Amino acid sequence: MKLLVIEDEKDLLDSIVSYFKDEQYACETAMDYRTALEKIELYHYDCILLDINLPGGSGLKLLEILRSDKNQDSVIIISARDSLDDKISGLHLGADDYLTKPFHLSELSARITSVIRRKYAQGNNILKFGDLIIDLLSKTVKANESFIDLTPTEYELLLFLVTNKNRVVTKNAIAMHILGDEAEWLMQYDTIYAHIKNLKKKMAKSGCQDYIQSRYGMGYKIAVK
Amino acid sequence: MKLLKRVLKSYLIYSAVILLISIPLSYFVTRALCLQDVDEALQNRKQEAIAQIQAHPEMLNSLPWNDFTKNTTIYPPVNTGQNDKIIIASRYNQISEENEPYRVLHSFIRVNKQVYPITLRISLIDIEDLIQGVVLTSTLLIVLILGGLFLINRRQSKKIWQPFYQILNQLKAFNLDQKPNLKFTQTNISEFEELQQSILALSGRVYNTYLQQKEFTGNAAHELQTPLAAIQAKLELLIQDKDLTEKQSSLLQPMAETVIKMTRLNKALLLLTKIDNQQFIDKENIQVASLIKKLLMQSQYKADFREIKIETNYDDFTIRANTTLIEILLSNLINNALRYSTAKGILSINVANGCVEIKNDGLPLPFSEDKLFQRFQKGSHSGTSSGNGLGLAIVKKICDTCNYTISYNYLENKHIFTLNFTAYL
Repeated sequence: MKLLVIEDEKDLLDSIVSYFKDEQYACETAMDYRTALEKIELYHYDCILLDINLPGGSGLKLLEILRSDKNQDSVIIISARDSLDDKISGLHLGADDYLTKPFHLSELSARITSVIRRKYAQGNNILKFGDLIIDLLSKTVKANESFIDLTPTEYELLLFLVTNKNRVVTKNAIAMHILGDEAEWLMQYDTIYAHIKNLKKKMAKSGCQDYIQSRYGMGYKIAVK
Repeated sequence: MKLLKRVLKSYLIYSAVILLISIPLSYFVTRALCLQDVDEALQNRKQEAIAQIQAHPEMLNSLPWNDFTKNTTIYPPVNTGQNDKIIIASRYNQISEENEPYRVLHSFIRVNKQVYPITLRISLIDIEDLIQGVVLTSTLLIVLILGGLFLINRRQSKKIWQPFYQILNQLKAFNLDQKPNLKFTQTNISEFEELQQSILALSGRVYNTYLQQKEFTGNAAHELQTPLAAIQAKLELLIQDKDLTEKQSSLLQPMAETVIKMTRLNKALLLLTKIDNQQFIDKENIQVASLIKKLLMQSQYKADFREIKIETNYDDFTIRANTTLIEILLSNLINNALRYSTAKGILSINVANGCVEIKNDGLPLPFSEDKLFQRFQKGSHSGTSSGNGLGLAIVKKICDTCNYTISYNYLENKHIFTLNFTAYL
């Protein structure tokens, strides 16, 4: 998978690149409008992460050029601009998703996976992880030929962990993925811990391995041992 | 006291004093002048009488004189004469059947070595009329002059102060949220011209400062988003490190949470700026109770955490307003109530007659009531971690921008917020 990260804040750009390079992603970068335009016109990417405020021009203009070229590369806008208008005009111009800064890299990863899956899946909506078989359409999870009965929150939680497999996902990131801005309430009562506990219990019951590890109370990691 | 009234008041007092002095003054002066005249006439008559008597001394004995000339009486001779005496006396007039004032001269004349007392009189009735006439006329004239001057002065003052009142009215209408559009009519009074120019300059400066301040909040919050994103991303990368010790992790965890708190704070500040900049203008018909039901469903888990019982009483009504703002307004109030209610308390919501009342159990405010809606004012005994102190400031800002009224009361250990939408039904 090829990623193009267009972002002028070097620290953030570096972090994104190093987070995704371990994965199956090949990352290219652009830090200004002109470089970005060149790359967009020359190559194809599976997903483009696009900042709106760029030196030399607007990210929205790039998106416009991209779509007028009939280029169907997936685009996720990452912007500090939080207004509904920006989101609407971004999505209207053909962006696949819109993520407001600051965001968790794990959240970004989930969005990228989801965008790419939508683009290439074409009927194949099954995600496999170890013994687990996740049906993204019916939102069900099977292990060893039997369904695991999960609540919607547990399902979201499992999916979020699986899309970020082999990496530590913080409790904050999980809470915000599930609840958005209200995440603070979940953190307060450590409901994440309760949900994880339930999820592990249900997975163990259907004979799964214990994939989910806690990491010093900071977060969780799903990995096949 | 109004400026015009103040000026005219001293004028009125001065006029009244002048009027009060001038009436008796003119009366006494006229009277003195008239009496002087009459006295001279009396003396003349006395000389005439002396001349006549000296020409015809026999007349003294016949004395038909006295019957004849009622205004001159000669009495039988006396031994010694005295000085002349002039007095005012009243005398009965048989024709008009009333007492009339007279000027009377008591004197003595010497004829053939004998001294005769003589009394001469002149009726003052005509003179009294004259004095009255003169006093009345002069009073009328003074009243007319003063009254006229007063009216002219008032009109002039009104005209002269008109630019001042114009400035005053425009300043009253001055609203920082709108670009100042002060328009003054040309005036040829240099002080007013200076005042107009100073106020134009001042309002411009004030507005620009306000704009800069507003922009600063917005820009600062906005500019912080990207560095925050960078910190958060680095932290997340650091957490991936396999060699991370537990001790290091325990340091990282609060850092990550602080970044999130800062993010939330920033977002709230940005929201405040956006409301300030009137970026929420689209209006729709909103069913308030239905919206509250939706918001309560989303917040139900919070009530569950704290075992708060929610009681509702809906008599739904529709208002015309911006959906986003109303949602933020109501959810902030509901979340505030859930956050600060005592655990296992009751949150009751009443919707009726264009009003929404949100009531929750809780300890009294730890600060004075007028600080309730100020930014960064936080309750000390929140049931959860403290909020960012902007929730109610946002509520207030929305109410102020949209002209909804919100009131707060603390009654029987309950915090009561009442929103009034009656103007937008």
